[in-house]
Amino acid sequence: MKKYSFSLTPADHKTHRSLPFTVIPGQTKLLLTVDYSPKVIENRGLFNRMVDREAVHLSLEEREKLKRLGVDQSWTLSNLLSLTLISPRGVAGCAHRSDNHQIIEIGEEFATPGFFPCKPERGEWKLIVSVSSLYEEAQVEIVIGERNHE
Amino acid sequence: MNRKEWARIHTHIHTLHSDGDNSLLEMAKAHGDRGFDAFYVTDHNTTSAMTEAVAVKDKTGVTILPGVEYTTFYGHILSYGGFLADWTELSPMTLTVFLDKIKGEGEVSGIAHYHCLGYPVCTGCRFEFDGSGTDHDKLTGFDTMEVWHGDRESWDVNHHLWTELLNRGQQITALAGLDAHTIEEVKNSCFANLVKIDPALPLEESIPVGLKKGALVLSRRELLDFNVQVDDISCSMGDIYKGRKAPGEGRITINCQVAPGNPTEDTGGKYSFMVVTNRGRAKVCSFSWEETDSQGEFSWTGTMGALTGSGDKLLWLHVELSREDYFSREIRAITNSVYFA
Repeated sequence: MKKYSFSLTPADHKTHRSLPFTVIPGQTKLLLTVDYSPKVIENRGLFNRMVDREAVHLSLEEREKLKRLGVDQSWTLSNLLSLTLISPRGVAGCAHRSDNHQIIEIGEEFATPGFFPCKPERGEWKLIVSVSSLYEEAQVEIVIGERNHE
Repeated sequence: MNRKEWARIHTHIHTLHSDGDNSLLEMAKAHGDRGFDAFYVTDHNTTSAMTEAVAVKDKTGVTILPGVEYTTFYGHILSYGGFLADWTELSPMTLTVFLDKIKGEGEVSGIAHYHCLGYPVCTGCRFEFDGSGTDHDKLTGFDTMEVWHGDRESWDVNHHLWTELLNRGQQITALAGLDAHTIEEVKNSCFANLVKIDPALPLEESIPVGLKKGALVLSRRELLDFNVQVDDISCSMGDIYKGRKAPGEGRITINCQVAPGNPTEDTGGKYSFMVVTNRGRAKVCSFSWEETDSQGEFSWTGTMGALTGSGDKLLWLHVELSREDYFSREIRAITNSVYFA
């Protein structure tokens, strides 16, 4: 079992972090558990500041419209991490979804949606954590385990 | 017009394999209920839904075609064909290499929702590979782009970009991108892509051919097609005219079926054909439902020279169908182009 714990800050926005791990001979399943928090940032002031800072392609009027739209539609800012698995053969799948608690399981008969069922190939794998959105510092904990026949 | 020569498809659909709310089976049933023949499943950065495609087609009769939406920090790129690359290698610096790589695998590439809200609302949803519109040379490697996507303002901005790329000599196919994440979006969708197919081939083979060529119409409902004839050379959507004679010496025939499959639908108002080229636009005729034949079809033929004008070299030509009443005018369908070498 391998465990990664780290924090991400808004400076990590739009970056990838590669976490290597090894699949040993005889291993029949992969099990990864990914948790990060916070997910939702309840901070309307932050949203408005982000619009002013980031939406530079919009005119002042359009930015104000966007802020009002944010209030009208109760938009919230959410941290979002995408998870991509790379096996020795190439891409083994990706989880691009909003949950901040995810379990990824890969075996010959079953795989979590987004991933391909297979007997995990022995060798060096990596989990790529892609920081799609990060508005406030987040704590990340990833556990990569093996599961043999139950 | 033979309806069997057309497939009704969506080109941008998500499932539980990424951030969709519904399974592939549920999405296929929703498409079947709405009379669709097929759709491309384009989950974010994965093609794993295709592991269910055969079983889902067996249950629903709807053909599932392989695609992926590379969901990067700088824009979303559609790829049709089934090859899956590592999206984390894709950035503005590597775009050309990445497109060459996937096209080398036989993929058809596409710009997804060019005009869209980006960060901080949605990272990467706004297409920024071209420096937010400052460097269109970056877009030369794309085969398709979503012109109908999102709100009306986005349609206009996307349409403007499509025209600009065509004017630069790029042969790029316009698509209607639903980008559905739920069955409700499929049920409520107000447009489709109509692809010209070879009815003798399975849809899995003939739709990709039509998509790659650009033999495709963006349509709210109507079937729309046209043909350019210069002497014995005949060209339709996606073809490149290479004849010696000036295209202005030829003729163009436009065909439309107003309410395919359901003549009880709203067919009021006046319909118009518009011929659009890089030289300008020309309204060629108007007609009403009453003037169509028993199949709801209407045809018009005219000389090319009168429509395409003069000036710059003629690069491309396509056709729009609109409908208007006292209160509004609405684009009902847009064909893709015939190109002139």
